[in-house]
This record gives sequence, C-alpha cells and structure tokens, in this order.
Amino acid sequence: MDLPILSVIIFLPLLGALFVSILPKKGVRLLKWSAMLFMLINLALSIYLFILFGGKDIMFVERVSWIESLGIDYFLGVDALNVLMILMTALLFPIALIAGWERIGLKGESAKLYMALLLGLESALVGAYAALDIFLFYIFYEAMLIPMYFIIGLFGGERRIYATTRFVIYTIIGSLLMLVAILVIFFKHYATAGVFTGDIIALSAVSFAPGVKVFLFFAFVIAFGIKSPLWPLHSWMPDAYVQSPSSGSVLIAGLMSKVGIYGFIRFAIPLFHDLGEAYAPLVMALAAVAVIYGAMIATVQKELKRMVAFFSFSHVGMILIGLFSMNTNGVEGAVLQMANHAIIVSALFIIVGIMADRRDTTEIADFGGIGSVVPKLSTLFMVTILAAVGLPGLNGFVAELLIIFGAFKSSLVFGILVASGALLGAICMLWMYERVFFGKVTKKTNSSIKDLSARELLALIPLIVLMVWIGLFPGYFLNKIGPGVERYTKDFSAYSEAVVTSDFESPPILTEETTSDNNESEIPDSGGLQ
Amino acid sequence: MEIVMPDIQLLALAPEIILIIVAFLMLFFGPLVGGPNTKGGPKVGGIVSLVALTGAFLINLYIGQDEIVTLGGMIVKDAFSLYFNALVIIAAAFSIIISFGYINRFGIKEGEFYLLILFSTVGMMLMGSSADLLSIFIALELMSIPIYVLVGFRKENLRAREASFKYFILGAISSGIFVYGAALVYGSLGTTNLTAMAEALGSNISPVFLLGSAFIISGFLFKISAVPFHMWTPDVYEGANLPITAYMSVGVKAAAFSAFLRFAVVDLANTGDSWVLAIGFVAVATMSLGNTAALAQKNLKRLLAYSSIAHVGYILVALVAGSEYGISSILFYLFIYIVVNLGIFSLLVYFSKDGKECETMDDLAGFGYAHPLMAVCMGIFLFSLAGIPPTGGFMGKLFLFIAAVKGGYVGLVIVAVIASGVSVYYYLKVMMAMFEKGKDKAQKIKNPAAAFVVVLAAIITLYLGVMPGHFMELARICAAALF
Repeated sequence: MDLPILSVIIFLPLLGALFVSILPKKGVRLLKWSAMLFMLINLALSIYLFILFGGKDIMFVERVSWIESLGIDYFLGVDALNVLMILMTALLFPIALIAGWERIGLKGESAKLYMALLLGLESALVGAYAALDIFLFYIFYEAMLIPMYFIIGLFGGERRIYATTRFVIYTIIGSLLMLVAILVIFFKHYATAGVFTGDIIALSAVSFAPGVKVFLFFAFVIAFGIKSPLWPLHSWMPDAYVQSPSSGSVLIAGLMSKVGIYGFIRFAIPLFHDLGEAYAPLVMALAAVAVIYGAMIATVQKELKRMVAFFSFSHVGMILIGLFSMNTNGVEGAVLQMANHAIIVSALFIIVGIMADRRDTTEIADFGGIGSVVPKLSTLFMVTILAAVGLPGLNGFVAELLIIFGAFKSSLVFGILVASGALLGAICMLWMYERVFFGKVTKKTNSSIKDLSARELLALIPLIVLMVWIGLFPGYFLNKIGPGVERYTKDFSAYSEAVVTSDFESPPILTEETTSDNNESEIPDSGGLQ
Repeated sequence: MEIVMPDIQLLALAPEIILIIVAFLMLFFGPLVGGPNTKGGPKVGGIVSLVALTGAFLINLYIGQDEIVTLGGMIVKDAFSLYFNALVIIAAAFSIIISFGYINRFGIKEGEFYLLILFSTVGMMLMGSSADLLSIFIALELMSIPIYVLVGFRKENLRAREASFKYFILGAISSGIFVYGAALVYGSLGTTNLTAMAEALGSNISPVFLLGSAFIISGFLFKISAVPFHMWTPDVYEGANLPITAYMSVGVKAAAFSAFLRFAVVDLANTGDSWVLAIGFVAVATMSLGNTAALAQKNLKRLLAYSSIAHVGYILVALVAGSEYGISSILFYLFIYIVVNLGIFSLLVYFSKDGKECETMDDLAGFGYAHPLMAVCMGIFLFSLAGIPPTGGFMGKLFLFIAAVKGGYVGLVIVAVIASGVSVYYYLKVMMAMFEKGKDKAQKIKNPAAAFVVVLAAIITLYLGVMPGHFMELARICAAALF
C-alpha cells in the first residue's frame, strides 16, 4: 500500500504536540522551531497532495474498520470539496505561529502548552476536513474544541473566560443536536439496510418521514450554523474573535468557521438534498441578513478586531448564499471563497494583531494618518482590503463573482442582496482604511511606530502572494475543484453513487457514469483574467 | 424439618473467601504487626490488602465465564458477575493505592481503615453475583455498613461525623424499604430467587408484586443516588476522606448497578411498560437535577457528587431501553466512569496538602502551570465526563444513546443531550480554575502513588476513546450472560 498520506497529515501534528511536550521547558526557541518544523513538513505534504489531486474523484482514500460492531470506519478521502481547505489548514498554522512568534511572550510550560495546543488543533482540523465517516467527522469536529478552548481561555484577552465558555457551550449544544440527528439517521439506515454504517455516502440514501427529516435537517443547520456562524446563531462570535490571541483569531475565523460551512457542503446538503433545495430560500435569507447586517455593524465599529469579526461574519453569509444557490457557479464560488476568506481574514487579523503589538490598542480613533509612518504595513493592508472587497485581479473577485452569478441564477433578490452586501463591505473597509492610514498623523505616539519586521513580513507575504496568484490565475485552482463541484451540483445522489462504486484503493479511478445533460451555461472559469 | 445443606462450590466463592480471611487476619493480627500508634501500621495493612485483592482478581479471572450456580441458587458466577467483581476489585485496589500518600498527611493511624475496605469489597462482589433477593440484601448490608464507618473515619471532623450519621440513617431506611419490597414479592410469588421469580411471574402480575418491585427499585435507586433518593450524596461525598469518596463514588455505584441490572433484566422485563415509564421519569429527573445543581457548586467534592448523579441519569436512559445492547453499553459506561472518577479523585488527593484536602475551585488555582502533566490528565477526565471526543466518556455516551435510540426513546436521548450540554459548563469551569493566573503555586508535591493512578487512568480514558471496540466486545459478552 502507498504511503497513507492523509493519515500522516492528520497525525503528524499530533506527534509534534507530543514531541514538544517532552522537550525541556527552558528552550523556548527550540520549542517554537520544533513546532514550526512539524507544521512545515505538513505544509509540504499538503502541497504535494494538492498537486497530485485532480478532477472529480475522491482520491487518497483510506478505509479501515474501526468500531466493527457499529460499522464505524476510519474512512478518509480528498475531493474537490475539501482539498483546498486541507491545504489552507496546513498553510495557516505556520503563518499563525510566525505571526504570534514574539507575541506569545510565554516562557517554559505555557509556551510548550501553546505549541502543543496549536499542533493538536491542526490535527483535529485536518481530520474533520478529511473524514468521510460521519462519526469520524463528528469526533474530529468535537475534538478541535478542546485545544481552541484553551487557546482562547489561557492566552486570550481580558474577558477570555467568558468568551471561551460561551463559544464552547454554543458549539457543543449545536453539535450534540447534530449527534442526535446522526444517531437517528444511523438507525434508520440500519432499519432499512440491515447493516450499521457511518459511511456518509451510504447514509445519504436513507429516506425518512417528512416531519422527521425536517428535524434532522435543521439539527445539522443549527450545528453548522453556529460554527460558521450564520445569523442569528452568531452571538458567540464577536467575543470569541476579539478575545482570542491574534493567532487564535486567525485560526478560529480562518479555519474553524470554515468547518461549519464545509459541514453544510459535505453533510447537510448531500444527506438531505431535497430539503436543502426546499429550504434554500430560508437559509439564504438568513445568510443575506448576515451579509447586510454584518457589513453594517462592521461599518460602525470603533475597534478594529470587532470590525474584522463582523466583516468576516458578513462574508461567511455570502459564502452560504453561494452554496445554497445549489448551482455549479454558486457552489464553486463558495468552495473557492472558503479558501479565499481564510487567506484574507487571516491577513486582516494578523495585521490588526501587529497594530495591537505596536500600540496596545486597536481602537480606530487611536490611529490616524499612520500610512506615512508605516509604508510597508499600510501597503500590505491595502492589498488585503482590496482583496477582501473583491477588486479584480485579487482573489476575492473571482469567487465573489461566481457566488453573485450563482445567486442571480437562483433568484434575482438574492443576487441583488449579495451584490449590495459586497458593496457595503467595500464601503466599510475603505472608510476604515481612510481613517487609520490617510491624512496627517493625528497622535504623537503614532509618529514613531515601527514598520513591519522581517518576521511579520514573512507571515504576511505568503498570504499576499496567494491573493495575487489566485486573483490572476484562478484557472489553476478552479480546474482542480471545478469537475468535482460540477458532479456534486449536477445530482447530489448521483455524486454519492459515483463515489460509492469506487474500489477504495488509493487513489481510486472512477469511471465517468454521469453524462452531461446539464445545459447550464457556465462562466469561463478564469473570469477572463487569465 | 430436614435441613439440606446446599451444594457449595468453593472455587466459585474463592475470591470472596480470600478477602474475608485476609480481613479477619488483619483484624486479629493487625495490632501485633503494627499497633495503632506506629507509623507503619496502616501501610502494612494497605499492602496486605492489595496483595489479597490481586489474588482475588486473578482467581476471579480463573473462574472463567461459564455459569456456576452455588449456595442453593443464591449466588451465580457468570460473565456478568465476573465483570462487576473485577470492577469493584479495581476500584478498591486503586482507592487503597491513592490512600497511601493520604493517610500520613491526615494522621490516619488505624489499620482498620483497610480491613473495612476489604469487607465492603466482599459485599460489593456478592452484589454482582447474587441471584436471590435475600443474598442481595445481605450483600447490600455487608457493603454498606463498613462504608458508614469509613465515611466518618475522621472522627475529629464534624462534617465527616455528620455525613456518616446521615448516610447511616438514610441507608438503614433504604435497606428497610428494600427488605419490605422483598417481603411483598415473596408474598405474591412465594419465592425470592430471581430465576424462580421470572418463571412464577408469567403473565399475571399482581399489584402486590408491582408494589414490592417498586420498593426494591427504590432501594437500588438510593444506592446509585438517583433522584429522588439522591439527597445524601453531596453531603456524604463532601464529608468523607478523599480516598473513601473515590471508593464510594465508583465501588458502591458499580455494585448497586450490578444487582439492579440483574433484577431489572430477570424480572422487570416481564412486567412491560409500567416500569419503563417510571425509570424514564427518574432518568429525566436525575439528569436534570444533577446537572443544574452542579452548576452552582464551588466545592469540588459536591460538584463531583452532583455530576455523579447526572451520570446515573445517563445510565438509566440506556436501562430504559433494556436490550442486551443497552446493558452492554451500561457496562462499558460504568467502566469508563470508574476509571475517570478514580483519576479525578486521585488528582485531588495528589493536590491535597498536609491536613487540608484540595476541595474547592480556589484550591486548584495555579496547578495548571505548576503541574502541567496533571493538568492535562485533569483535562482528559473532565472532557471525558462532559462527553467530548476523543475520550472514553464520549464513546460511553455514544453507546448509551445508541442503545436508547435503538429502543425508540429518542425523546429521552434529547433530554440527555441537553443535560450533557449543560454539564460542559461546569466541567470547563473546573478546568479553567486550574489555570487561574497570578496564583502560581509551584509547590513541590511528592505523591507518586496518586500520580501513577492519575496517569494510568488518563491513558485508559484516551485509549477507550480511540479504540473502544475490544472493550465493547467484552462488555457485550458479559451482558449476554444475563439474557
């Protein structure tokens, strides 16, 4: 058998966590570098995985029976829906580590704990993305709460305990509800097929009485809605984002919130595709509220971290609208935007974190006109903001365009709402930028703040490069995810069947069995920019 | 009247006999080996007890899982009783191990400490093997009376005396109720043997039998501290010595469950829905009360007491389902519960200073930084109690809920899930208390015995969370013995 690359990507960080926890506590540099080494190896493996990945199949499948009596398998695989996020996870961890390199400011045990928690979180996140067994997914999904709880609770701001408790309780209530739903589906499958299985693909074939089905569907919507977050389940979000240490905000907003969206894509919609279609207007309406309301709230924030948090909330709503438009453009946009949003929001939080390092404040009013003092920082911030608001040539544009197209195809109203949400977001961000960077320096203390250090540049440059790269050459990425997404949206159950027939060898080659009868006109995937 | 001596199979009873003999030897020769006022006295007793328990454990394994009926049908040794006997022996042994670092610090000099544990353990083992209401009663008393004494072992401590008194009075009343129930059952069926009862029951269930069963169940519910018979639990947990609280919270509970399950499966299964409703109601009340009352607690022992009440509620959810799968999931859950609770109490013993137990949230402050390994273990235990993967507690809850959903009790599972969600809050509060900043007490603690139990328990908890398959299979085989 080939190298079980997915298992390696999942468990290498965990091994790293164990490794750093046995290192001597005095050598903080050694701790950091060891953690970094593990993360970089993982990044290299993920890039390799991404390069090898191609097309519509589920690849790199690993399947071993795990809890035999219940038919629960250790079942992993990569397809168009998760490949980008696995890459992003592996990328953002070292970046978050570099960004918090000095800020951690911890000695001995706490530094050790911090590194171990980061590595443990990476394991759980990749695991959640790669799992194709519903129980396995659930286990990783829940397990990532543990390190995140400590990252916020131990290393966060003033109100960290309040924020982290609230975050965990919201998430747990959602996921326990999901667990009940999973159990019901699991038994219904057993009752009809006579075998236990946690295989998401097999479970998607089960049929239910209409009332039960609606309950199950909404159990998933609430669980993933809390995680994403979807309006009105978001009230844990501002505190958690703001109270996290900067690197924590990067991970929670950049990666953990995506697990919620990914849950919709991988579980809620395929398991209940007809309900997904039936209730799409409802979910899209909630997401549209998030888009508009989030952008408006972001505009009036006086504090940068909160502003970025609400801006991110607004953009997550946009991704969900794309997803629930349930057509190829929308879903493709959503999948790509998940990665884009991870990049952009991480960059925003890192920059805000850097500003907080300099001045111990993130109030907008405490800055003003610092553009001339910190040219590097203001330039990179500008690029990030332009990417965030969807300027052509940067990554935000391609995906947002696809989402807006998808939304318009599904309904005119949502198209208009998404488009205006994007506009509001742009206003909010640019206005903030103007207040912080343009004009004369308003406060004396600001005239001497330092520009970006080499370490900070090192954290930001890869993100900026990706923004430009995806913006200019989206084709490379869209070609990877396009075929898979197309099959996904063409017929959700056919997608499942196609996967079910695979022989679970690594990597399996699936025969093309769905003929193209879909006459949807497609947007050229490069958006004419290539 | 001719008295016929029943056929006695000594091998089947050998584990209990060994413990009894050793306990009596300790009683007689204890003062010779080390008098009450010599330093080594209690410790020698502890080591002797450990050796005896190990012997009992090995013989228990040697007996094997084939069913042996002895003492005129009063005692049954099968895979089910084997399982529970192993559990209570483990509970006793580890409680003794953690008491080593404790007794010196708290000035416990009496060697009786250990022989009382041994007597009580024999009672617990007989609970799991009893197949007759009378032998259950005898076992119940043999288990309980030494515990009443052990709870009040710190004689100078007012709380301990009060707790012991309270437990004794309430325990005596519950025993009385149990016997009353047994009498009613005998009156209606003419037998107290569980198997014979099941045969005699058939389809005609008299009100007298139902009333008797209700009384018997009340007796069990008292011992497992289910609502509304739970009131003694927080006070007794708080008053007792930490090792004894640990021993009670796992041993008594496991033993009471073993007899309860046998009674439930053999007899109540025939009476149909009437008791399902009652137990279901008790389960809901137990989960809700346990979890909500725990929210407000600042004292860790009280918090753990309420948490243990809540866990009984979860277990009852699976009991309602009543199937073989349900029983096996209960066996699995009880094991993981025992491991985790022993771990937590060992941690509290570990953190206890001379003469002062670690029992409030404030006492924990700073330990997270000073003793990171212990903090990690505590995290594993608390996450396991809260039912968060990848810990054994999650798998345990998953199996319990699966059993209930399988039985069609989705409503009960939803209540359990909500209760479980609430519980996360107070478990996390304990976790955070360890990382209170600014109270970094980097004091040196030397208690290798307790540390050993903590780490071992943490490893088992994680192992069962990741690889529950084999153990679940074992639980299934043991549960099958009842059916």
